[in-house]
Amino acid sequence: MKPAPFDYIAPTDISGVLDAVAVEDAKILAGGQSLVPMLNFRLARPALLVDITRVHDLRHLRRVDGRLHIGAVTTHTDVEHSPLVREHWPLLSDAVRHIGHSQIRNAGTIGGSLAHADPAAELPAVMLALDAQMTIATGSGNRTVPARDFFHGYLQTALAPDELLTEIVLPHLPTGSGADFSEIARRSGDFALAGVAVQLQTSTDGICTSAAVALIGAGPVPLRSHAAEQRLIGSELTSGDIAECVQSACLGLNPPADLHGSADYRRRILAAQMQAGLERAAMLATADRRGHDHAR
Amino acid sequence: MPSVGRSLPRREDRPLLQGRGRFVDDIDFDGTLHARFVRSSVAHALLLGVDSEEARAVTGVVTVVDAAELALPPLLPPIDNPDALPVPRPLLATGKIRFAGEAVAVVVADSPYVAEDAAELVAIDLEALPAVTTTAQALRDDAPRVHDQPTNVMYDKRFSTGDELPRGPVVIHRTFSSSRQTALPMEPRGLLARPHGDGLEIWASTQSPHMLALAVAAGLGLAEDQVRVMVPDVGGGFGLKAHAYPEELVVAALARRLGRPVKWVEDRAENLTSSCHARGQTIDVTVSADADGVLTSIDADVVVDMGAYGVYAHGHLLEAGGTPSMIPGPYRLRDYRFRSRAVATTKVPLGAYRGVGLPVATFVHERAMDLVAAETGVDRAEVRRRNLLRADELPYTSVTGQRYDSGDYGAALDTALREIRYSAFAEEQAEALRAGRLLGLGFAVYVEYSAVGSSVFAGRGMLGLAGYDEANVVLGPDGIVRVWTTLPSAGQGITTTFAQLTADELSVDVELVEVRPVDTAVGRLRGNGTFASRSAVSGGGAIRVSCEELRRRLLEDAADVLEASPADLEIVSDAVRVRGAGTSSVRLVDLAAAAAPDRYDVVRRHDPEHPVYPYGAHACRVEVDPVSGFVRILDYVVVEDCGRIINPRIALGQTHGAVAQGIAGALYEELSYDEHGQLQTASLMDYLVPTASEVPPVQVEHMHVPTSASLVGAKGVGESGTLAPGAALANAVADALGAECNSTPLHPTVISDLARARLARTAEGVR
Ligand SMILES: Cc1cc2nc3c(=O)[nH]c(=O)nc-3n(C[C@H](O)[C@H](O)[C@H](O)COP(=O)(O)OP(=O)(O)OC[C@H]3O[C@@H](n4cnc5c(N)ncnc54)[C@H](O)[C@@H]3O)c2cc1C
Repeated sequence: MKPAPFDYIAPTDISGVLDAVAVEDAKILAGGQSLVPMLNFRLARPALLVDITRVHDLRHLRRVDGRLHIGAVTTHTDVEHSPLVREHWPLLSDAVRHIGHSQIRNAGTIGGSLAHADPAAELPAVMLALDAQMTIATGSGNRTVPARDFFHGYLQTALAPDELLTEIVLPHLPTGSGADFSEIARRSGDFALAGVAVQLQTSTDGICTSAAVALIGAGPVPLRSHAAEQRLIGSELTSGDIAECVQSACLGLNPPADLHGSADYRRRILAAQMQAGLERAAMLATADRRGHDHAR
Repeated sequence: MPSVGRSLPRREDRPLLQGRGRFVDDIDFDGTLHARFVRSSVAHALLLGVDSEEARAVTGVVTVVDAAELALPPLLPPIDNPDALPVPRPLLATGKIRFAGEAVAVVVADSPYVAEDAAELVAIDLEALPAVTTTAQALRDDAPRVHDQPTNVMYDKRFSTGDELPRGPVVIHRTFSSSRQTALPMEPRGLLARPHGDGLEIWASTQSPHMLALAVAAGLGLAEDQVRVMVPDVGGGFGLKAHAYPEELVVAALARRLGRPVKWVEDRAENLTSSCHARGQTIDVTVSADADGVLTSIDADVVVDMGAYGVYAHGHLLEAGGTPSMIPGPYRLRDYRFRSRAVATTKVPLGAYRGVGLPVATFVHERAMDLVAAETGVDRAEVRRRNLLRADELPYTSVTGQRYDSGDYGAALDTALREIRYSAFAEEQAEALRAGRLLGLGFAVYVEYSAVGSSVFAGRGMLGLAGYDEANVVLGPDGIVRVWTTLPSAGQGITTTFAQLTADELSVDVELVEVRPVDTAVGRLRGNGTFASRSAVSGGGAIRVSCEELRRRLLEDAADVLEASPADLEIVSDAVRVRGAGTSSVRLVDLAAAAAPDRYDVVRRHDPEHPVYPYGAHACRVEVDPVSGFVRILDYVVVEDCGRIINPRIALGQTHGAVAQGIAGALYEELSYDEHGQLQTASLMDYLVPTASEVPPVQVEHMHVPTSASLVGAKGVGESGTLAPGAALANAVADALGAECNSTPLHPTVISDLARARLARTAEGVR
């Protein structure tokens, strides 16, 4: 359980990183909480590790024009403890607590989690639910990829080996929104067996105007349940509406089976989580609007 | 003030908590080389050749050795048992590979990194054979043979109290099973060997240093006194380190051949795939009882998945010998039959793990009790009361020859039931069920043998286990009493408890006593080592008899100085004085200064004539989540009798740790293999060791019925806590679900199916 030999550099700016990763067999190292175990098991054997944690431009959390900009090297702990995130993007705040243990959150980064794209991880699903935009630096300039196009398959993303994820941008959430995150895992700190991230938007009269339901552990990539979302939009989000939506969402689900649970088992858990998560998010959306009206 | 009975802080803790612990991997000498084993990734194969040319060419590699080059005899556990076939284990795979993880060659390099890089380059030429991954498969006539024997059954014992067992009127036939688990000490195995003169000095993370020294000497053709084993801090053993492993002999041999220190510290992946596993049993049981629930007979067919080999020196008889002997448990049973087989498969060898065989025995008799209760309609507590041996029936020799020494099993059960609020439960459960919540209550009574002596090992044919232990108690010229024993400190707190025992046996201040790390060169001690909950009983006994002799000498010499009769003298804190006389005394340090060199250097042995029998009852309340099938433990109560308690806080810690490991086996940990013999749970991502978050608070109540079978009054507390959690939790979950739970661990998928069925039945009004 020791890595195969590799070279190591730690550039201090983005262009330095891009130069370094242009070399064949180079690999970006962020918090190392996914990559180092893979190195130790020799499942990954890059020739060169490019440590990006010294690039200060990559570690930030700021709100610009109502949108949240998160630098890729921002740690899970930074996000967890950010009052800004807590207030405006509670879904992210709730989800990040479920990642591993505090030691892991202290080192692991948001960009690392998204680039690694474990289907059982929290953040990819959250980014899907929040319609995040990924900013990617390449040798020929920056490009932006929406979360829905970012996750390609099991541990596969839109990132090419010589590209750097630099920033994640979350859109502004208007008044009347409600979110919920839930997951179950065998032990505290484990990757989820299954989980659901919900972000709802309601109008003044309590009608659902937009809905995002993202599922963890439902397939090789985090999934948005469009079937569920379509049923919810335009509804009043009663328990009955939600139950109907969950039923139709589950029909199309084909979660993986492994040592820790069959497909059926996971489907049942997802259904129960969707039901409870949507009910809580609907309540919070109503409360958000009331709080807002009250404040005015 | 006596020091036994006080919760003195553990002497071990301060250095460990301050990062001053010193483990094998922390020891380094100039020029130390590092060994890395090349292991088979295939479970079963003919080994055609090993090509190490490329590996040898790596800069920093000193040598690569395979079986042919090693040319040492296999490890053959010294087992003399007519029911057992010999199972030799090559130090490095020879001719055949028998499990994935088996060592095939070893690379020695000047750094562990280089060694691991080079190990990858060793090419193993093999011809794959079909894997044998279950005992059912191994028992088939056409199964591939793991060893060069006509059968895969390497141990087959039958026992019966008579030709015909009384049957019925109530007859229950069930199959119980317990998956493989492993001890998973935080510090994995490790050994450092350094040539010394024409012999070897060895630092080992082991529970059995004296056995290891003998095994190394025998394996390498050295004289016994040419091998010295020292034990630094040990990060847990739990049975896994009670054995001498092939890797340890190989590393010792390499150090001699290369004339340089060689170190080997296994990593977690190796620990999971090549040290030893435990449990892994399937038991077919027929239990008969009368209409009142009184047992009439038990017929058990025990099949143990022993893996590819046995372990040294226990062989392959651990589970297969232990479980059937204790299936009768704490109950009155005269008619009993069993067959017990250890069956070879192409999996990691089975070795010791806290409780060895007895958690499975307890699971069988306690599930059986609940089933008898359900079948006869007698309350499950009452069924047990009718069958439990009464306090006045003890000592009692069981059908399998176990001599239960002392105790009050019924009182343990009743205390546990009171603490878990059994009588109020049925109503609470019914009310919860109406609200759609699944609550369950379960309990289990157990009795355990511990501190097995040489006569028992000899009776089982385990000739390589000493059974006795020795202590060397020395009063130095500095007035300090130093104690060496054959039992290393591996987390059990014996550096503290042995000091307490020594202090009281000599009536000296505990601050004057120092318990030293085990070193086989000191005092020429021989002995068993620490396992089977034996340290307090066997090591404590050896300390006691040594102290008696040292005290006799001290009083004799002080009598001369004080011109008094030894009978009128007493030792008080740091001096010998004349009883009642007040002023007339001589300090121990002065006696020591005046004495001949070996005068206050005493070695004595204790060989427990009979095992002692800790017992107790566990009870718990659980809630089952019908969606996830997760079991939440609401309350957990332990009532136990471990005899006289030397240090209450340490005893409590032992029980807490043991219960945690029992819960692990009941709900979380499982070593599962696929059909190719690949371990599917080969990392801690998949092998689910519960964390502090999963283990509930555990309430512990002690009982104490004195025993005459233990010199120091202690019964052993290391393992007993592992015996009952599996049974108590399975009984509780079964109670919550109204369905049977007959195998561990309880799988969430299965539990959730049963839970939803239960709720559906309730909804339909069926109860
Ligand atoms: C015991 C344990 C428990 C864990 N539990 C969880 C859990 O419950 N949920 C969960 O989601 N995660 C869990 N993790 C993983 C953790 O969240 C990781 O921090 C995360 O997955 C990766 O982030 P990192 O910064 O450590 O990335 P690294 O491990 O350094 O890198 C991961 C991958 O991303 C690439 N990469 C990193 N940053 C960039 C970038 N900016 N641009 C392009 N590529 C990049 C790397 O090349 C590598 O391929 C756990 C880890 C451990 C060790």
